[in-house]
Amino acid sequence: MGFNPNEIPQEYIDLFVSETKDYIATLNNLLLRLEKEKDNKELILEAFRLVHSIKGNAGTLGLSHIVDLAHAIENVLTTLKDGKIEVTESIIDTLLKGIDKLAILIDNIKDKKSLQIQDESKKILGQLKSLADEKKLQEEIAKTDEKKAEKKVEAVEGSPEIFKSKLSEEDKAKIALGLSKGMQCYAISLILKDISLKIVNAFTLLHKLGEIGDIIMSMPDFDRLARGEYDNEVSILMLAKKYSSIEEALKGLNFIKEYRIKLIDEKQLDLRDISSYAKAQVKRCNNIAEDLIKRIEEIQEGTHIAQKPKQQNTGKIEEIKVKVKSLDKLFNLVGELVLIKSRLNTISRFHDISDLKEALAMFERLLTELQDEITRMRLIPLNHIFNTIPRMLRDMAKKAGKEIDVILEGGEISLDKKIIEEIMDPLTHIIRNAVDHGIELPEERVKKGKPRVGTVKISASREGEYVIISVEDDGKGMDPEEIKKRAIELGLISPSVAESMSDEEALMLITLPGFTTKRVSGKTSGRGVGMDVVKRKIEELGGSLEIWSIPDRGTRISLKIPLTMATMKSVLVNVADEIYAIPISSIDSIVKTTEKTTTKTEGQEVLMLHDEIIPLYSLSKLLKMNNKQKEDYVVIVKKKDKRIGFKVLDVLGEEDVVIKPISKLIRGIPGIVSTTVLGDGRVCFILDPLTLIKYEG
Amino acid sequence: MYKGKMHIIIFKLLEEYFALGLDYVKEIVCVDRITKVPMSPEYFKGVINIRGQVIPVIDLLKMLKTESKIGNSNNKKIIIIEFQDELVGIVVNEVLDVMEIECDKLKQSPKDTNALLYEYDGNVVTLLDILNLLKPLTQ
Repeated sequence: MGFNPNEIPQEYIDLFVSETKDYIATLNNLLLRLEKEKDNKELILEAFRLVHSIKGNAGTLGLSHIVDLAHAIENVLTTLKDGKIEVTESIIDTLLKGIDKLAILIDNIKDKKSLQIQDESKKILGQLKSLADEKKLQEEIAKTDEKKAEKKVEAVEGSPEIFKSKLSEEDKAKIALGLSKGMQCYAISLILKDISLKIVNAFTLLHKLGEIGDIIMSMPDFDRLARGEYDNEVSILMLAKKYSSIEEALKGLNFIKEYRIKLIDEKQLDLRDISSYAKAQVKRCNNIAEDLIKRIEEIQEGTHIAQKPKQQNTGKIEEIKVKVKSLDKLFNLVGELVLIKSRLNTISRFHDISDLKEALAMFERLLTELQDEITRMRLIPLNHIFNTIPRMLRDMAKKAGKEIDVILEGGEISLDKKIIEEIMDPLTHIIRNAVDHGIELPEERVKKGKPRVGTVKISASREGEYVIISVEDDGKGMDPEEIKKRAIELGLISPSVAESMSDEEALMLITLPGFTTKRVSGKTSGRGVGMDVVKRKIEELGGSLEIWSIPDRGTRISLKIPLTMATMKSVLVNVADEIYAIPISSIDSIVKTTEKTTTKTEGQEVLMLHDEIIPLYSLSKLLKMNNKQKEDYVVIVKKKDKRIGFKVLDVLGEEDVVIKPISKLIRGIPGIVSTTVLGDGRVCFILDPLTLIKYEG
Repeated sequence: MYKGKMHIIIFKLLEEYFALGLDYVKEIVCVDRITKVPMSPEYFKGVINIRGQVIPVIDLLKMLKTESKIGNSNNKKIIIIEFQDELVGIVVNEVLDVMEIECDKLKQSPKDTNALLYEYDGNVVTLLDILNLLKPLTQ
C-alpha cells in the first residue's frame, strides 16, 4: 500500500506517535515481567491488547508496515496466550526485538524518514512469523521425519560434533524446517588471513552467507564475531540450497585464506527427538488457526465495547494534549517577563512612585503564580524514565553475564521535563556501574554466601523542593582505602591528603576527572560518561551527589535534584575576564569592531553601522571592573527605536542557562538579573545591560 | 550572654585569631574559583557554587575594617554559615581548631563591647557575634 505521510494531518500522526510510545514502554515492562512469571496469562493478554491497539491505530493511518509488524507480534502473543507454545527466554527476546523495531519505525514516522521497511525489520518480521507459525513448523518437522527414511544424504566425512553440543532445541527446529524446504545443512570451517579489519570482515562474511541461506550458529558466536573477538579460525553451521552457492560466496571474499565446506547428515545433529515430539503435537496444533481467528475476534469485540462508553462520554474535556514546543515557548516567555520585572524593580528603586510600587507588587505576585502554574504543567512523572530501566538493566546484565533483579520505587514523583531528560544519561551511567562493577558474577555471589541473583534498587523520594534518586546495589561495594590508594597512584591526591580523608570523602574521589578503579575499563562501562561527568551534570542541574558503600555489602549513590528549574537563553560574554550571561531576548546583534568603524563624538564613543550611529559603552567600565585589554566585540541592544552597543572582550557562545535564585545579600545590584552556574561549575551573573546605562553615575 | 559550655571554631585571618559559635557553621569548603560581584561593597569577595547553590562570600577583615591593614586575603578556604535561611561564606586563611570552651572563660573586650575575647594557645581570639555582624547585609 502506498503511503504518503504528508496526506495525513500531522496532529493525528503526532498523537499516534506519542500514544504508541507509551504503549511500547508498557509492552517492554509486560514482557520483562512475563519472563519471570511465565504462566501469567494476564500479562500476555494485556500485551496483546496493547499491540492490537497499535495495529488498529496504525491501520487507520495507513501505516501498513507498522500494521504488518504489529500483526506478527500479535500472532506470537496469541499463540502464547493459548498455550500453544511455551514462554521461553528466546521468544521474549524475539518479541522484545520486535518491539524495539516497532519503536524505531515509530521514531521514523516522527522524523518523517523513509517509511519503507528496512531489511532488518523484515528479518525480525520473518522471525516473528516463524514463531507464530508453530503449527506449520511442527508439521514440517513431522514431514521431515517421514522423509528422512527415504532420503539418502551423502555426508562428507568429518563430524559436526562441535556444533552438536551447542545446538538449542530451537536451532534444531530451524534446521529441521530448513531441511524440509529442501535446504541442506553445511558446516563451514574457515581460516582467515591475519588482517586487521576483523569487525568489518565478520560482518561481510555473515552478510554474504546470510544472503544465500540461513546461518544457524557460528563459533565463536555471533556477538563475539561482531565485536571482532576471534582468531583467524571461524566455523559456521548454516542451511543453504546449494553447495556451489556457498563456495561462490566464499570465493568472493578476499580475506579468507582457506575454507572447507561439509555437508552434514541430519542424523548427526540429533534431530530425531524434535521430530517425534512434533509429531505428537501435530494433532493438537491442527485447530490453532481457527482458534487464533476466534480469539482475535473476541478481543476485537471486547475492545470495541470497552471503547464505546469512552467516546460517548459527556462533552466536558478534562485534558488536552499540548505540544512540548508550545509549552517551552510559554516557559521562555515567562523567563522574559522575569527579566522585565527585574528591570522594573530597578526603575522603581530610583523613582519613588508609590503607584508604580503598588502595581509592581501586584505584577510580581501574578508573575510568580504564572511561573508556578507553567512549572507545574511541565512536570512529568519519573516513571517516564523508570519504565525504560528494567529493559535496559536486563540487557546490561545479560551482556555482563550477571543475574539481576530490579526494584523500582517512587516513579510517580513528578519532575520538570527538562530535568527528566537531563538525568537519563547520568542515571544510566550509575546503573551501568552497578551492573558492571557492583554486582558480582552469580558463581562469585554464591561463594560469598549471597543470593545468586543480585538486586539493583532504584528509588525516588521527595524532600521538599528536591527529589532524591538512589541507585542501590547489593554487590561488592567499594573500599575507601583502595580508592585512596588508586587516587594516589593516579596522582590525583597526595598521600598526606589521603590520610586526613574521611571514608565519605574517599568515596567521592571516584568523581574526580581521570579516576578509574579498573585498570582496563569494562565492556559496558568503558563507554559513555565517567563519574566526573555524572557529578558535573547533576550539579549543573542544581543538584548534588552522595555515595555510600560498604565492601561486600553494596553501594548506594544518591542524586539530589531540584524538582523544577527555570532557564534563559543567553549569550555568554567575557567582561574583564569574568563571564557574564546576557539574555538573548535583549540582544539585537553582535559585531566585531575595528579602528575604522568606531569614532568619538563629543566625548562619546560611537560605532558606525549601516549608516546608523550607535553609542558605545564599555561593559567593564559600567560594571566598574578593571580592564586594560582591548574590547573588540560589541553586543548591540535594542532600546525602543534606538540601538546601544556594549563593548566586551569576547563572545563565548550561546547557552540555555539555568536561573538560580539570587541570595538576599546581593540583591538589588543594578543590571544583575540573577545568577547561573556554568558547565565548569563557576558562578556567572545574568546581566541586563540596559539598566546599567540608565543609572550610570 | 553565653552560659555553660559552647563549641567554637577558631580560625585565622591574616595575623589575627577569630572564633565563631559552631552552631552557625554548616561546612568548610575549599574552592578554586570565586566569581567577583560587580558594583558591590568591597567586603563582598564574590559568589561561589557549592553543589549547584550560589553562595555569596564575605571578606570579614574588610567588613570589620580592622586598622585597615587590608592585605589581599586571597584565600580559598571558606567557612559556610547558615543564617536566616541564607548561606554565607567567610574567607579565612586557616582553620585552627574546633573546641568546647567554658563560657565563663570569655572576657569582655576593652575596645568593643560587642566582642568577647578568649585565650587560645597564648593568643587572643575574638569571638564574633556573627548574626549581628551579618544582619545589616540583608537590609
